[in-house]
Amino acid sequence: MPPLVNLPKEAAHFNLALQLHKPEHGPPQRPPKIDNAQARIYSEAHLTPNRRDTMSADWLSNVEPMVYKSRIKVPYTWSVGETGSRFFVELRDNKRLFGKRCAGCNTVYVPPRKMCGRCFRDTDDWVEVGPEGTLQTFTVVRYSHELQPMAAPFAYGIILLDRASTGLVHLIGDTDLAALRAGIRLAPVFREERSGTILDIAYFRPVGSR
Amino acid sequence: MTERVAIVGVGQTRQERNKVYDTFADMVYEATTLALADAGLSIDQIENVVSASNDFWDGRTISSMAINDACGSYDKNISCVEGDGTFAAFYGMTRILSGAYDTTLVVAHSKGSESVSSHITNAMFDPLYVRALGLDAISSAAFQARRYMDRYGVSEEQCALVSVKNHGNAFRNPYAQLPLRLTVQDVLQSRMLADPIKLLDASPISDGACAIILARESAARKTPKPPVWVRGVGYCADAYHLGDRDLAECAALVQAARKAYDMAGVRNPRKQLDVVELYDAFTYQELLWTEGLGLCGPGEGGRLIESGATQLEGDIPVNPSGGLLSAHTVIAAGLVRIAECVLQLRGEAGERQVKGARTALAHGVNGPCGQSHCVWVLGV
Repeated sequence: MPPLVNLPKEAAHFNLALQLHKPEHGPPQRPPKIDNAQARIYSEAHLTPNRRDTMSADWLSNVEPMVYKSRIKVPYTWSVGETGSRFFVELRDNKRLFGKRCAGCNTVYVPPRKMCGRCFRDTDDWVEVGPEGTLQTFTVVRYSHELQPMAAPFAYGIILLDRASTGLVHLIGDTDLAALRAGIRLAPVFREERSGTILDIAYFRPVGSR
Repeated sequence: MTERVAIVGVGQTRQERNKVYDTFADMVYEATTLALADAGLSIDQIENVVSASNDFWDGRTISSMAINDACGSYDKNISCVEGDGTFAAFYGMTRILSGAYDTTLVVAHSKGSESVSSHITNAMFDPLYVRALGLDAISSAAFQARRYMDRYGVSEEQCALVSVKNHGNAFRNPYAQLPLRLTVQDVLQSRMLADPIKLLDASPISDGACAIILARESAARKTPKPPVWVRGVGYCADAYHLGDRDLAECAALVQAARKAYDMAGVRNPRKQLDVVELYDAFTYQELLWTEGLGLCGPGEGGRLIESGATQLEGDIPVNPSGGLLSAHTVIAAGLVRIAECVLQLRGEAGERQVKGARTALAHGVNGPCGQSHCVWVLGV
């Protein structure tokens, strides 16, 4: 049996979901012999064959391909920065959304940035945006992995909040997924308990839906 | 360019779903030895190395350090480009043009089988604003597909034609992972992943490695095979935040292509290019990138593929290798496009050979939804 590292309990929920093409079950296949097309390419190119094929077959046929399972779980403490902090504090304490405008090109960045990447200068004013916005694009996700906050099927969207110049990526919830179209109007649904993160908005809901 | 640079050797492993007998170093060694044999060079004649490798995919930092025995980097200058192989090749070329080196080995590797792709690609998004939403490469690409298709009326059927063509082309490429005989209906009925991207609209998970050897002209002329000249290169990055970009367009690709075309003297790419290998991570991307490369007008990618022009027998064959849809080794995929173009221009492409190819274009992408592009024009 290949060795397995002792994983902590939560690893049992480590869902190896979405392998688009699952490897065959059972013993791994021996790498295929070089076929005629390959041999022709090698001979035309004066290449030496794949080193594996020059080895004797005997010892290879007895090799069990070992695998080693592990995971990397490293803590980080990212500084949100003064600009991002203002955004999240307003979201948490007041349920208000803000962008930051560059006076050079009049772009209102949402989420707000300290600098305008196009003009390469500091941004200037804080601009309250939304809370409603227009859906620029979306997708309905139909596969699940453990990093998703909702169970599939669910939707993501890029929402251009009113008075913003750039779109905000978020979830779309509480809606008929089949009825989603670009151009519809959405409003944020705030969580009751907010902690100053992007998920203080639970999702955006189409305006007028229910 | 003040002095000409050529590609004098290429090597690639087969791309497979799970190369369970190979470590990263084993694959790098295989690709490197094949490239050296192809170039008629010994490892001692390689003056510096650029590794294209990604720490997160490999699960260890300084991913270039970990494979340096496999690419002859002891006592040499090896640097890492953490991105697609086309960008690593660009850096490798500039090291020669700087005057510091005559030859550069560029080797790219990754193994998609060893991690969970959605977890790795989720990590490219901002931890404060996007990552907690669980977005990944497929769901973000779906944003772009929808926006592009909405703007120009491109249909899912037109996207499906890309999958049919490229998986079919893969039968002629012994290195490709997924030769498949498909119909448009097969693609349309395949499992929906994130609207409008279905399973057969998406590239697979792959393991593999690819190596190329670049040389300045004086060194290139000494190698046994005709050098393949770098006629033009362009590189351009778009904004990082998805919401800052107009996802229905590919302004960064247009700019990168323009730079490469200007250098190469290409004024009419549709006429002057004989073969194109582009970065089709998803079917809609082949259509959108053919527009960005100027092979057709904006919004006309769907009509281009319907015309048959991009088939192997057409007037502008695209991805005769089968493209990323047939084998997508992250990081290596763009370098494989360059290697395939080299084989085409030498007449060594076997059953996927485009007859009489003299000018080729290879294209690579880094980041979600084509965040940055690198375009190569090669010629003999």
